Amino acid sequence: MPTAAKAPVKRGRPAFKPPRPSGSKAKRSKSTSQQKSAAATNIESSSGSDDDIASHAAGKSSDSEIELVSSSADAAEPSNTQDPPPVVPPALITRLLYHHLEKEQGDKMKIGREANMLVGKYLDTFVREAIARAAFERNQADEATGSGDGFIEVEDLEKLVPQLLLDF
Amino acid sequence: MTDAEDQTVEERLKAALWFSVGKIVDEEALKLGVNASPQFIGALTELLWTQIGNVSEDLRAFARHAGRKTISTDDVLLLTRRNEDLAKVLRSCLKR
Repeated sequence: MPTAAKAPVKRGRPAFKPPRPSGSKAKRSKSTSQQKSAAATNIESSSGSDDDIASHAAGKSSDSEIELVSSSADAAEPSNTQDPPPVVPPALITRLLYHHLEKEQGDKMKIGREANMLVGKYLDTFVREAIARAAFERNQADEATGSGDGFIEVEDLEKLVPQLLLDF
Repeated sequence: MTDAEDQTVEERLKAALWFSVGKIVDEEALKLGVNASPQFIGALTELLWTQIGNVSEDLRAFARHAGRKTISTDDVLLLTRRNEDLAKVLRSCLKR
């Protein structure tokens, strides 16, 4: 079944296919060689609309006392006209981490700029790996039944989650 | 912060995360020649949310164990101690 030939279904948002910068791909080898999730490593900046959301969320709770060790996200907003591959914006990651860290009592934790970037890469790999494995599961299921529309469903995610969480 | 406020913040954060995950899914699905249902994106967002919770918990424990108050890159690399390939990916990302 030629899955590649299928036209992607239009959803609410316009399809987003940025040009891949050459030489910025990292592949996870060995354990996941079948799934070939080529993780994009270009995470230094994100598109503007993305950051709007992040800063929107961040602005909501300005009363929190925690601070970024060296403010990363707001500083690195170059005017790149070429769309980078979509990533979770660093500012959002910082907010999310602090949201979870805040819940705990005790001493306050900060996170370094580099470490924050690395967490971003970690989560990016996590998401892309999950999608690649889900696509693999879907193809397996479609081949087994001889039908299917190539739509990744929640059940595909359910099948891969246990192993994924062991790997991460 | 009251509970209600806390909940709205959480909702907004989740919405922002959903948006980012949706974009990544769109891109990857296009590359892999598959389609993803909106439910899948929602479930993946929820999974990622939980994972972020676990990760931040671990990072805090690692940093505290090292007697630091700041989470460093070493702590993040320690997260990948059971997955050599993932550690390689992160290390190569760090070098650049």
